[in-house]
Amino acid sequence: MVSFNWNSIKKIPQGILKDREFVRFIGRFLSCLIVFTIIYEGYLWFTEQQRELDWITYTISELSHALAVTLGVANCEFSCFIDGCYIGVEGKMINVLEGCNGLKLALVYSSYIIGVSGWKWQSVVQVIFGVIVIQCFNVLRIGMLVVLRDIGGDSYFFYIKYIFNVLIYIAILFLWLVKPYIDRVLYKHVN
Amino acid sequence: MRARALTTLVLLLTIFSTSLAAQQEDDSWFGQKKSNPRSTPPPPNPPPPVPLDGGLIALIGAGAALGYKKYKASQE
Repeated sequence: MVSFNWNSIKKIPQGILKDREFVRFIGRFLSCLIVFTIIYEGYLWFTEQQRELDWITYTISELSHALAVTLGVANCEFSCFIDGCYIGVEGKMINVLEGCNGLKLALVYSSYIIGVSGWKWQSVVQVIFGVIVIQCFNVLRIGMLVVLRDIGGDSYFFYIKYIFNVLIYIAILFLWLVKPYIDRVLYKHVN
Repeated sequence: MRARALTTLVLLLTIFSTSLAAQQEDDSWFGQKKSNPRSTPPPPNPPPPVPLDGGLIALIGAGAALGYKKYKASQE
């Protein structure tokens, strides 16, 4: 029978507090994420009140449409409404909603960078670079999906659900993993 | 008294038979429903959304795990 030992329970937070650096990181990471999410949700609420689509979703859709046209999708149409944008050939369109713009992933990425390094200009440089990389991946993803939908077949469902999403998540993890090397370059440049 | 009872019975039987007849389907030419010979096309499929934020919690967890690994490595 497992005995209830109050002292062992009291030791758990003490054990966690021993890793003060880690606790600081978690505090910065989560607080940044909460603040960024509140700002973003506030912006979404504001655009909803204005009866408009948010600028980020619109821009991502517009760039994806331009990419699909460049990749050779003939008669590719683009129309936006309050809830999202429609891109593609008539009858074979895809719907780009707010949840497809990739900004929430960019917020998690940025929170991690600031959580690890704090508010420094090096962090800001990495955040800007990372957000651009994530959004480039997203534009490429949506543009490719428009092309795949135009070509036909059911394969694009597989790409929507797994391949492209996993690629973006891997790209974020890769950016986190190479962060120490980027830090080294940036700090060496300063020194 | 008997006449009133008979009248009530006949009335009830009439109502009952009328309602039964109304429930039965009319197979005659007049009763046939006129259906559109051209079948209406099915509604077009709505464009599928392409969501990306399905694994946010997993990403946050991965970030926390990566941070923990980093601090553990720096301690050793």
